[in-house]
Amino acid sequence: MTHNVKSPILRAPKRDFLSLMILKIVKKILLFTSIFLLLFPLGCGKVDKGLKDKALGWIQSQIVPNTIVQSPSPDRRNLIISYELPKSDEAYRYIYSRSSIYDGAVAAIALSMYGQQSKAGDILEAFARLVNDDGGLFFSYNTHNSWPNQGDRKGAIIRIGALAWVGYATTYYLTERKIKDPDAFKRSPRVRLLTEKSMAMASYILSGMVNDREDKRYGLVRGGYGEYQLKYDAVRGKVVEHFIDQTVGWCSTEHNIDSYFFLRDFGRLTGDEKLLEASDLIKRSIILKLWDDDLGQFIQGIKADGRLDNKLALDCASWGSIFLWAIGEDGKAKRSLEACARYRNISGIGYRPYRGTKVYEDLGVNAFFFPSEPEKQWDSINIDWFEGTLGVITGYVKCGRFKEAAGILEHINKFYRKQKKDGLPYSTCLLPYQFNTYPSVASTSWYLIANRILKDEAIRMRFCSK
Amino acid sequence: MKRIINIILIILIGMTFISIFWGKKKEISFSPYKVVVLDLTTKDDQTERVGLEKALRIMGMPYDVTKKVDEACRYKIVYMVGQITNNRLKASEREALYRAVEAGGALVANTVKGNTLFSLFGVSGFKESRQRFKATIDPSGGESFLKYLNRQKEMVIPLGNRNLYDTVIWTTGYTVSTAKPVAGFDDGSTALCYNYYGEGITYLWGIGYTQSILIPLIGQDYEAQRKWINSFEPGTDIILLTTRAIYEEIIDPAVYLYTIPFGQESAFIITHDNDAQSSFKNSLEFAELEKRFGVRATYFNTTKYIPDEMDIAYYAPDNIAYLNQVKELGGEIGSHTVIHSQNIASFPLGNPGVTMGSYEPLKNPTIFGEVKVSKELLDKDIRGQNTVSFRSGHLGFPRELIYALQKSGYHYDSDFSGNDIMCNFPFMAFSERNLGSKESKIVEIPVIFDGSMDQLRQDNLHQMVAEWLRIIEFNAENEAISCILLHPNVASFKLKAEEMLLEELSKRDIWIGCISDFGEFWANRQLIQFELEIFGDGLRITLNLHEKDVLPGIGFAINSSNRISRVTILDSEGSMIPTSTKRRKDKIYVYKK
Repeated sequence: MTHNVKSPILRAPKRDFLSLMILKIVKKILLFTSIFLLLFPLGCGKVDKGLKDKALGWIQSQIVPNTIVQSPSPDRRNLIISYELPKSDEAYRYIYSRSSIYDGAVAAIALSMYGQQSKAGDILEAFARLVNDDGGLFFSYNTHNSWPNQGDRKGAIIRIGALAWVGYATTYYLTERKIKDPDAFKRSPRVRLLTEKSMAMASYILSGMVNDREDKRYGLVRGGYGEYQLKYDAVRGKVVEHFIDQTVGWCSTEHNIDSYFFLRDFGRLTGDEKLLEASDLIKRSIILKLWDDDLGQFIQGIKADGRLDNKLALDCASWGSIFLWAIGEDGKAKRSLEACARYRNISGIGYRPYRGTKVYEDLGVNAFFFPSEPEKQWDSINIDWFEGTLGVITGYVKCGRFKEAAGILEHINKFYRKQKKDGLPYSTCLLPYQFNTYPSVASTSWYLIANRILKDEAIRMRFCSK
Repeated sequence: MKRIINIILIILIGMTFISIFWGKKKEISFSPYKVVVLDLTTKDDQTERVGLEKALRIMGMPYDVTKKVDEACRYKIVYMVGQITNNRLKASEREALYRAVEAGGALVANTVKGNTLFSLFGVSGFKESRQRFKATIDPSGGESFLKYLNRQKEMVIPLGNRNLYDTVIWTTGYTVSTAKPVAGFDDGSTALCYNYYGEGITYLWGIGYTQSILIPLIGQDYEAQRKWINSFEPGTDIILLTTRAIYEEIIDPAVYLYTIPFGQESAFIITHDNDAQSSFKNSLEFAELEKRFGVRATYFNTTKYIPDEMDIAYYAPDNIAYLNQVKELGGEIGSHTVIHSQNIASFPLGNPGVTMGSYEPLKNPTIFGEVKVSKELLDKDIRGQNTVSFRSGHLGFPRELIYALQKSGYHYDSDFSGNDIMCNFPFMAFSERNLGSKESKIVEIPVIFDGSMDQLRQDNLHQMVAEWLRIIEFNAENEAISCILLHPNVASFKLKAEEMLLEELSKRDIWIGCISDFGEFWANRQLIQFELEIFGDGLRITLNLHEKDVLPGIGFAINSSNRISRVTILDSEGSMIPTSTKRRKDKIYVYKK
């Protein structure tokens, strides 16, 4: 039998032998293809296919309902929980389900950039459903219950910057959808809803603009509503939060840059001249009132009484450089980017958030947290603030300095690879009420954004464009 | 060795495909052209499903029924029935519904009471009541699912007569959050709203199918109708038509079993009640008129073979002779009871084995006696007769009438006033007039025009005919029917009225005929189920019946926004059924030749 089977091959003429060889090769290809196809679906999600997949997967896993909040308050479906908090954290029971709108906004942008349009739309529509009658959104929302809401808003704050990010993320999503499928764009109820609510958000932001030409804040938008102040309670021997239930009077550089991008791009998308004019006024006011030529960066803002807030903040330098590049102030953009160096955490891999000021503004609070060094300043804190560091990387990318961007990013990659959790931590230092070390949606989303704009020129040009 | 490699290769390829298709199964994929009934009812509210199915069948919509949420979510439109409280759905099922809508699906529901679904439907609260008497529709937003509602009376759904009842049907009034209300109750709460969610849409009614469909169709709607006869009363039709219009809005192509034979605009059904001495002879004039126009009418005959205090025994040989002539002229002979009693609704059911020999109509009248004995007489006296159509005297409708009719060999009944039940569509009657009763095989054809009791007179002839034509037009817009009752006790102006109607209607593409012809069409239509497939611009409809079991005129309406240009209908054996096609407005009508 064996002989019979083999003999035709042995005796086969050359042409037949070739055919058989081809057949063998085809079979081998089929075999390997099959093995690959077999392993591919089984392997998905189990094999670490890279940090970006890890980051994307983690971002999606933070969207409720998920394992943390299995039955979210129905109007909060698709909000994204900002941190993966350990149950051991003292604040866990208060904030385990908390979703900050800024985090959701940057997550939506990241998801959009990686082709996850539908997921991005889900998050943004969740915001749209939550928009208050006046067009505002609270800074953060519980996802397991209905706090805050328009009827129960005690202790809830509104931040114009965060709201503007939601508006910007929505505009980014709408623009991408319009490019990809203009017909569906016209028909989509989601597009209609998001457009309508973005207009409401824009109106809310503009309602906070200072219109008095004599005011030093003229042309800027105010910060929002409500504030928390940290105080040391000597009787109880602990730090407590005081809620100030009133409209914020200060105007911050960061919020105004956020608002500029949103109003400008949404105005361009809808052709609304009023929005374009408003964004232009904000742009001129930022340059005129908030640029410090000596420092080579923007100051933090203007206080309610018109005094300048000169606190040195990384955001004002990094985010400022992106803004400056976008408005064609290339010289200032370059200086602003260079100013980021003063925030470098020499003992770490990234950047600090502030310099030259106490870690906690209130001396009593500072002394409570740093009893041996009551005047402790940011300069001596060993902290890598990833969201801020990725902002610097984004600044480098936008200004065309890809090599520097890639260099810092590589440090983060090394750090990220070592993490047991899938989300990139917010920072490397736990500073109560300010910074934590938990996997963070903001950090992870900015990680994805920075990577994407570094690699993809088209997306780089569309994000915070000129 | 080679064989082993080959086997491994085959196994690997097989596993590969299994793993690929396994993966695909997890995605939401819609069954493209059917709707699904998600049955969340319990024993206490199962009439909700019955009511919805009734609506879907009258409207001819293709549908499946499931109790599983994940199965339902594969369809493009889900009609959810049952009291939707928070406990009715598991968290995972609720999430599946949210996701299905978010992905572009449509969800239709009523009585949503669980706040975990409020966000999906865009409402923030509800209040139940039996003291709402009407719902008013606001079509100003131009919503396409309200497209059939263009007449003044279609803007108001009557819920009960405030002058007669303190409490009427149950309704649920909503407070909306993100939803857009399109109908409101008289207490200001929302009766119907829709809400965009993700890429999909939800519709929420504040009136359940039990209350809005079943209760009217068993004639227990708290006298909600605005008039009892000779008017346009679409109260129930509004729910039916909106149910279908949602399907038409969401699915492209939307295909449904058409309500009218041969794709015609509407149907006009002519009936005459012979319940007076003079009627039988006069019938000949009506039958001759109908023959001239080439149409048939039904003659319901009282077989009064014994005299009573009301009248003589006019079911006598001379009148029977007239009936035979009517039949020869093309008329359908139906039963109009034995004694034409006003009290039939209070008669006992009686013995189903009753015959003329055993029946005592004056002493012991029964429902079976009236139904069976009249049929027995007609079948005996009229040549080639098998009586299948019935109408009571004075449109009396005993609770068990339909049961008795079915038991006695009838197929069709025409006892409800269409205005009374607010419905201008035929339907399969329920065995008994109570909720929970089974559907019978009797086709109920509501009558909406009646020339008796001084409604039609010599002096208002033109006015009344004009009004009837106007109502026929309104019903045609809804693909509904109009059935007239003219008593031949007087010929003259009544005959003229019919002639005027036939002259007008015969100019149009309107089906005109008798009860049994239309009833046969409708009964055949009820048997049909169909599957749809699209090939490019072609649509293939495959039926569950053999071609020989499908009546000519049975057909489909296709709303396809120009997507479909060719339609083929196949029978259960795969053989093509010869068809004709008509196009009107935005629809194609295809029917068996």
